[in-house]
Amino acid sequence: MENLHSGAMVSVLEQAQHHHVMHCLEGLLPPIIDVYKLKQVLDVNCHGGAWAVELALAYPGVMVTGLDSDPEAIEIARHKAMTAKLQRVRFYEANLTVPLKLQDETFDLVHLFTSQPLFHPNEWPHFLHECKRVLKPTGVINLVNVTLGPGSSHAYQRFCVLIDQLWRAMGYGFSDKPGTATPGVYFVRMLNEAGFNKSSYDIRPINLGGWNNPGGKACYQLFLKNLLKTREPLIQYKLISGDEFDALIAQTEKDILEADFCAMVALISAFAVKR
Amino acid sequence: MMQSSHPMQQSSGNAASFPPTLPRIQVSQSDTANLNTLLHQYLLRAQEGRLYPEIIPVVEMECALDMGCGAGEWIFDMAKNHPKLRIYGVDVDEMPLHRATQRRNAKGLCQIQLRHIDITQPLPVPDSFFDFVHMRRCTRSIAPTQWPGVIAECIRVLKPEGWLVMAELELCQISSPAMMAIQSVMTQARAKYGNSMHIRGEMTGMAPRLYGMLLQAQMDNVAYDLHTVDLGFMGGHTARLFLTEIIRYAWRMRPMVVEQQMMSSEGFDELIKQASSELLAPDLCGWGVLITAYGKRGNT
Repeated sequence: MENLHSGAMVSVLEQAQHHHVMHCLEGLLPPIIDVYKLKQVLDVNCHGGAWAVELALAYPGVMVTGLDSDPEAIEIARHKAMTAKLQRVRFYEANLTVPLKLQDETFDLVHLFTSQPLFHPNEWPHFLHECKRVLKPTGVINLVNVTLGPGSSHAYQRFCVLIDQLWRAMGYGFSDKPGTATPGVYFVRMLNEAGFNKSSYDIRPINLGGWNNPGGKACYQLFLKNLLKTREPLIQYKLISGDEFDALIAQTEKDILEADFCAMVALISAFAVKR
Repeated sequence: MMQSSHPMQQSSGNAASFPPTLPRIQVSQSDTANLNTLLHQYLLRAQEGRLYPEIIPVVEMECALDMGCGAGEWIFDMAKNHPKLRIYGVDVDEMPLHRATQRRNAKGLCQIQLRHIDITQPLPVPDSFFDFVHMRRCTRSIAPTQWPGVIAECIRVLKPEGWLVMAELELCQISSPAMMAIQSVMTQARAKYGNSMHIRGEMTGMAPRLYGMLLQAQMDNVAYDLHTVDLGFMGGHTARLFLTEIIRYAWRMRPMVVEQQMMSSEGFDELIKQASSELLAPDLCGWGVLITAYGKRGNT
């Protein structure tokens, strides 16, 4: 899997993951959103712009603004928009933990997709208030989180636990208890506390294993790629040794190729309206 | 099962009716009677109302077996949809089986046969007898090491081209930290007793392994379906009942947890109390996954 590390490969995987995720969500947007009334959309944490570009392509009346803290991701996203000859999509590098440089009541929809904790629990309220500020009074917010589910591979399950431990050690935990470091199940509560209304959620599975499932395999490879980034912090927090980590990664890469590989993650999609 | 006495247990007066502090999720009388029905419907709703995977041609079948049938909820639904299908239900637990028998007799359903059988032992059934063997939520009564033997028995009693379906539930995440802690302690306790597929006991891990075990058993057309189970406020009253049932189960595991010195009894009681109150949150959100693995017996 050496080619996993090349940028082009990552982009291909991200695109594949995006399509697989959208297939599982049965669309770009939750059904409560009336797409024909959408004019201005803000995509926070937009990565390589896959969602933003596809939304703009699907709905010619929509303007999309994408924000991400990673300048490389913004470059990829801009390139994607240029290739698609889209004028209606803009991408900006932005620090999401400080006030957004956007005017009040600008957007009909704020969309966020993340597979990482993204914010510390005490940063979420501030961020959600910013989302509320830039939303029009009738605007809708949609937060989507990927959370890890069970798998048949011991190595995969071990990583699920290690990641949870790491994120909690880094202060992303919603409590000191295990399994509380992913924000998805806390979205509705946080939306309510930020003063949003009519909050609800939808939870859907994404299959990573089984036979004839290239989309799921792409998601899993992207998960592995992101896992490599946790090597140093995991060692630093003394949760695992370097050798153990490498052996575990090798095992995880091997397990996905086995015919009996079965694993899943879930998409938690929460939505609420400003007014 | 419960040896140690506990103040809350005494105050409730009856050990069997325990959940220590579930103030407003108290299970009412009618709920207790309907608990099995409600939980069955809850899982069925998660499975989009399908009693079995679509690929299985039940209309052409004569005879089915439900392993670990409990109070027979799945069987009665099957009987309703397929009046000509003969359905056998077996379970090691006599109480629910007795209820199922009463219900069968009251309805005069001759197509249903119920037997008290330990499903971890060889079945007193000839080879190639059933067209369809169904199992759901049996992890509590089958130890991980017993699974391959149980599957081999299911395959033995299946006719060639008969189908085996196994559905198991895995609780994943919920916005109650105490509930997450209980889950973690319980799986670790099970692991210490050798009742977990996962060495470190981080998850019971049976559900995602069924697919591999059917492949291992050389069945044909092996596949699996995934359905998320809503544990949060949108899952409604039944989701709460379901979570209450899990807390009761955790409570029954208490002596084991304490004996294994994984937690003090006070610490565990505190967790249960905390979880019971956290589960009342109006914005509760959580999910589990039902993994349904299935395969067809080969022609040989």
